[in-house]
Amino acid sequence: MEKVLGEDLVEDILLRLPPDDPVSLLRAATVCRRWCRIISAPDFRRRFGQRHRTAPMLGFLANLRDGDEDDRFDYAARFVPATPFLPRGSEHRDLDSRHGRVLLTSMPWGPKLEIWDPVTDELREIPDLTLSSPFTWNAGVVCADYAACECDHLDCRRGPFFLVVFLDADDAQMRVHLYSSEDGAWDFAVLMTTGDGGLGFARVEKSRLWICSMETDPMGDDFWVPVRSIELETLLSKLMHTPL
Amino acid sequence: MASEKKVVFLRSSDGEAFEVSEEVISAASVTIKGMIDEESPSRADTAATTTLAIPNVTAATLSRVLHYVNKHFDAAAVVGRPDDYIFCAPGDEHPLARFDDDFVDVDNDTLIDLVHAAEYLHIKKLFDLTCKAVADKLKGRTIDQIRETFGIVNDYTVEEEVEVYRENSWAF
Repeated sequence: MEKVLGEDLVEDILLRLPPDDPVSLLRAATVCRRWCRIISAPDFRRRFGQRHRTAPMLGFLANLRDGDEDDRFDYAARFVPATPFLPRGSEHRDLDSRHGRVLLTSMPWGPKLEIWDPVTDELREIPDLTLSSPFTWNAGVVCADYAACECDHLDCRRGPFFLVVFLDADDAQMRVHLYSSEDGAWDFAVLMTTGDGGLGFARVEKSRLWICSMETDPMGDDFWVPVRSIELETLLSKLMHTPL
Repeated sequence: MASEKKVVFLRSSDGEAFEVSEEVISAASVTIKGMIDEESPSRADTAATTTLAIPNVTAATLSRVLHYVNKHFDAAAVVGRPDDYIFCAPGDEHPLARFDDDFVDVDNDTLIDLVHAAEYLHIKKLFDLTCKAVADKLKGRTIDQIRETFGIVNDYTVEEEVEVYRENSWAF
């Protein structure tokens, strides 16, 4: 049979490949360069995700002992496949995964963090974060658009992300460390109680101090609302000019 | 309500004319509905029947398409709710589910002709059905079989192929 399918039609057909059979998609991409180009396009991934709304479970990550009986912390993230898809495992332990990204750590000896994409096997190291205690912290990863809720997370794996590391460093204060992949740098905020006894946090952005408080919307979701911001430069200059 | 049903004739690329109810084909095909709407002002005052040229579709394919259209879009012929059949679970035997399975159980050439016709005539349900059927044909086939089925020449170098196999050994 020598019926030639136009580019649009090939795309329409490949979009209907079953999402729980990643082999068929990969094989199709290996047929010829044109098909590979179609499947690799970001627009195709987006349309594929939209068409097959409920993502299939390709497998799950489990932190399993690596075999060294004497090493109590010898855990590593192993991918347990539910389909033929089998990415390489990791040496490190899985701490969190969300929106296509897996947060790995060499915990507990200091938070050496990495972001791993199991589908493409890309590994991205996160700059070291100095914590005063290596034990009392936890971390999560979210798509950078998590707060704005404009992203449907169907194909944001390659996009920017935030890391959030919670840390209760000492009795005096609790800090939240934030890493933005766009800025490539750590930032931090201090958790505190607000005037009405609720949970709040303060962070400094350039020379502005932001005080945020946690609110609950009618849907029951908690979110942070900036309740006050203080321009520190203005404040400082005022303080300097105020007679004692 | 008019007692006589309006019909239109569709002329295939190879010159064969097919009669179809105007109401049914308008509900099915966006393209033909557009053609009929364009013709309407000039038809109003004449009793002449309209013949529309469908230059991209052969008689063999057009007769299949009309068989599908009459099954799916003729309210008198359809049993149950025609639009619900897609959401039937396997085992929920909708009369049209069986019809659809048989309809796309054809050779590749015929199936691809149907995809092209459904696209040209803009019959969404038929386009979905036939594209899905082609995708189903890809399942479980080796890469060489897919190339053979669709007449595709492998334009990867040997080195590139080896690299793909090495990187994705789980899939081969």
